Amino acid sequence: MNPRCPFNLLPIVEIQINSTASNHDDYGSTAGYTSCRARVTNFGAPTFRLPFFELPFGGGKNFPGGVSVELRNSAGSSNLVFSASGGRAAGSPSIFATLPDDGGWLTFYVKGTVTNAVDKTASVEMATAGATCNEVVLARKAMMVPPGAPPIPAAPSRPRVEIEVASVSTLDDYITWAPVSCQIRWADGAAPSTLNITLQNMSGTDRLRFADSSLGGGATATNAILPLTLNGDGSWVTFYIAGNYNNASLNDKDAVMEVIDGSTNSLLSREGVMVRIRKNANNLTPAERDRYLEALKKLDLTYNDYIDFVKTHSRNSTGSNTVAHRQAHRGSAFLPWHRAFILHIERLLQAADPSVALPYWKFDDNAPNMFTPDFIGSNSPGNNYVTLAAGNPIVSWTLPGEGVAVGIQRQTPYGDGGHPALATELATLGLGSPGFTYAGFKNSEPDPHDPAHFRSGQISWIGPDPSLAVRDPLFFFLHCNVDRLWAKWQWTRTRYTITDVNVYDLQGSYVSPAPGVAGPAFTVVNGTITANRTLGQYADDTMWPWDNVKGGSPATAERPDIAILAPFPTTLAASSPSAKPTVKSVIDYLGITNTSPASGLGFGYDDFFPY
Amino acid sequence: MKNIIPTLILLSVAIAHGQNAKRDSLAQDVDEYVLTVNQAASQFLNKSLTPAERIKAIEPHAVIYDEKQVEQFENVVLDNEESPEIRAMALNKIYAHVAGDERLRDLAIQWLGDTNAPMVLRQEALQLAAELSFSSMAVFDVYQKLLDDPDLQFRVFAFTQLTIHGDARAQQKLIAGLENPETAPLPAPTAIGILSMAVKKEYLPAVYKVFQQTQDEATRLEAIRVLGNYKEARDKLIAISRDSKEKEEFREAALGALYAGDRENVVQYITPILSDKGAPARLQAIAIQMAIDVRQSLAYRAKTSGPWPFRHLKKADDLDKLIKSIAEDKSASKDPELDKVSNKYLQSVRPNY
Repeated sequence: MNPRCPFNLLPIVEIQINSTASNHDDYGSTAGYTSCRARVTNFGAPTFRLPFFELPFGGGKNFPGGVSVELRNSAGSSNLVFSASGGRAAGSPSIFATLPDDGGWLTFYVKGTVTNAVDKTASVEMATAGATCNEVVLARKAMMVPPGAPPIPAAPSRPRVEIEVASVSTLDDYITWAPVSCQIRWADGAAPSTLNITLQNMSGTDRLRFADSSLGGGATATNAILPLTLNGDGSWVTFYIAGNYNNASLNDKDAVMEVIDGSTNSLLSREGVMVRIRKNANNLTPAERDRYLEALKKLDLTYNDYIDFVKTHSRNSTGSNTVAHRQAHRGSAFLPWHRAFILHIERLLQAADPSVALPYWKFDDNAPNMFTPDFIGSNSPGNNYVTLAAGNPIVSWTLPGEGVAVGIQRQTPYGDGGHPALATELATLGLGSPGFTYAGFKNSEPDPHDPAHFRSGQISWIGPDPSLAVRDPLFFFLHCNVDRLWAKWQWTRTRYTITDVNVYDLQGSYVSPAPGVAGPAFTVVNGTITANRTLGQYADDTMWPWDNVKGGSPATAERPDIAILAPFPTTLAASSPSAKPTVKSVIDYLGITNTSPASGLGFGYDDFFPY
Repeated sequence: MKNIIPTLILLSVAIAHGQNAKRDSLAQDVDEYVLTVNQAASQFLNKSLTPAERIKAIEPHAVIYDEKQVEQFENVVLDNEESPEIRAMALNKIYAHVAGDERLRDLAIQWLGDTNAPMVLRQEALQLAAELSFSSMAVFDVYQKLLDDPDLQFRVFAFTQLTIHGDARAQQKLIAGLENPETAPLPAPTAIGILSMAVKKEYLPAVYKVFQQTQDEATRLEAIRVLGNYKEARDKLIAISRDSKEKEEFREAALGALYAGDRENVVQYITPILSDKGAPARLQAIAIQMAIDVRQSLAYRAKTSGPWPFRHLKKADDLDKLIKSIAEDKSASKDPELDKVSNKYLQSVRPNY
């Protein structure tokens, strides 16, 4: 997940509240400690022990010595205290611990400091804590410290069910409009008995939709409730969940599904997930905004990872560079490359805080709630730098190693309450008309993309040159909107089939273009790029820098001399793309054309439902 | 429950159909918009209308969709018989096609560099060059001519583009202008803002000189901001950051510059500010944010807290105690931002008091 970790493999962690796999008892107390446990599930091949010596032999450990972690509340919360021993210990807002390297359980204890009015509003968070490794959140397990008796009584006993959203890890409990495979089983039944249950949203949430295992490819879950029958033999039953359009999450774990016993109508279990959607930055709640800014600040100043994005966009090792520039601009790959680029940083932000998604700047509308000191900065005429509030996490925005001043150099001549003059959304969605071809739609690069940059200020990082633009965090809001417009155009014209020339014009590969597709070329006339069909522009080509192909020899002269962002970060929350994405691998971002239900690249937008 | 289930399933089906309807409706809106633009473009191309009518018809629309109309717009741009206003408007609508058309490109570049060309054409060419410079066009030889252009906006554009791309002549002209304001091609704050985007930092001695001599507040502020990476200026920046007689914005800029240039030692820069009870609340809040930046990492906290179960190995230091005292100050006059940030420090850094 994170190239700066000593191990590239992300530990997959299972956490159990009350030390059971079922959620029926995920309730704590302010009066005493609740026993919990956690373990690494991908610890490696089984280790055999020789008689008498008790030494490990054979197999391999993925995380020798264990995984150093911190157990804590989620940022901004102080609902819980943690203890290694329980009992009368005072407890602490966080403790450091080590998960065994052999998959064994680590036991710890939690106690509430306050009670919660709503289920799943307290969370046990676990993050990596190695001295040389970034602080990656490994798990967030939702629970509740109820003011009285738990909503699911311990006695009389009710059937116990276990649910897995994608897997035992909680890192894949972040969904979009696309379907996510889940499974449920009756853990304490007995064959041949069966248990009829209903899946539904917890009262007051309604963020989820359900589908049974018959769901086909290209479709998503759309049922408000789902009846299922579980077998007494403990076998798993598959179902799907997806976000309920127009009701995306505001906070982590605020999308809560319930399991209801069909015969008694009693509550058996609850599972908290998040419908994590890219939203209009102008409409974020203060809490959503602040979570994003905190994650961004961490990425920049705690992890020192943001600078890698600055150094990759149209740059090689010495700075502004044409070979680096043409990987991503003035060619067909402009849209796919930037889709991967913004998805990359979004995944790193989510490693810091899984509840954040990239916001987009709808640059043909005013964004008075975005151009503020509390968010991305406001600007007064004649000032080269934006004003940021003292409490804004990015108030001291700086780029280590870049040799620039603290702050964000941006002029926004249209004012905090305005927007640049450029093609409107409707005008952009008309690109490629009348056949709505990709060859026409890629002209969204000169408009609205170019004016969104340049008309945001000349003596600004965002405006005059791509080699500087990423210095301004507004860059990712801008490009998230460029991507949203492409995604919306894809939806409007059903442009997902990656072998269709109307979906992507440069079919085939740089080495072997498809029949009828123009061959490689790169021409510059009087300083102007007039044709760019270089390596990385064709559908089957891998994309720099994630393919880690560097220039310097005739065979690789098509690539810059560095590839510091390689590899592409894979995540549990989405099945694609791979660590070396091709152009075509990011086009059908929802997996719409898959023959079976797919979660795609793991993002969606708040203003359209692409099913 | 049994009655509810079919109802909800029907409702879900209805929602899915609703989404299809929404998509079809949007597609129809787009199609109608494209037709509207095509009609507006026809009006613009109709020479029997007045220039004002022609411009009014197409002005609201950013893109021409019909390929034949695009060709006709190109011909309007190239047509010497058309008025400059009409030619500029035609060019404005076909930026996406300029890079691929040698005649258009050359004409626009000619207008850009020709101080005798009508201003409306020059400004359109400047706008085109500015936007295409982001992704596809860079005509540095023309930009060199613009360094001496009588119009400030052309000079600002040229200096910006050339400086960003490492042009030594442009940078030297800006530096010379800082040293001799009478011959300066640009106002000093603008020049410093542009120079700060240069890869090479050769301008720092000149900016330092300006910083020491100028009486202009805007120039001094801009200079302080960029001097963090100039070691010779460090003592002066420290003094400004602590000086209660300085305006708050200068103290903040000086502290920011120190943070940018010497982040490892930020504790020594912020401690006196946090100790000064008369220091502005905003400045103190920013100082605490800097402390959070360098101390909230798990690497730092794991090191200072010790591994489990051997916590509490290292005690809070003076900075931790100072920020705690600020956080615990419950006086009514306390700044809310300072209160929020100081408590955030305690929560995110979690010193072991």
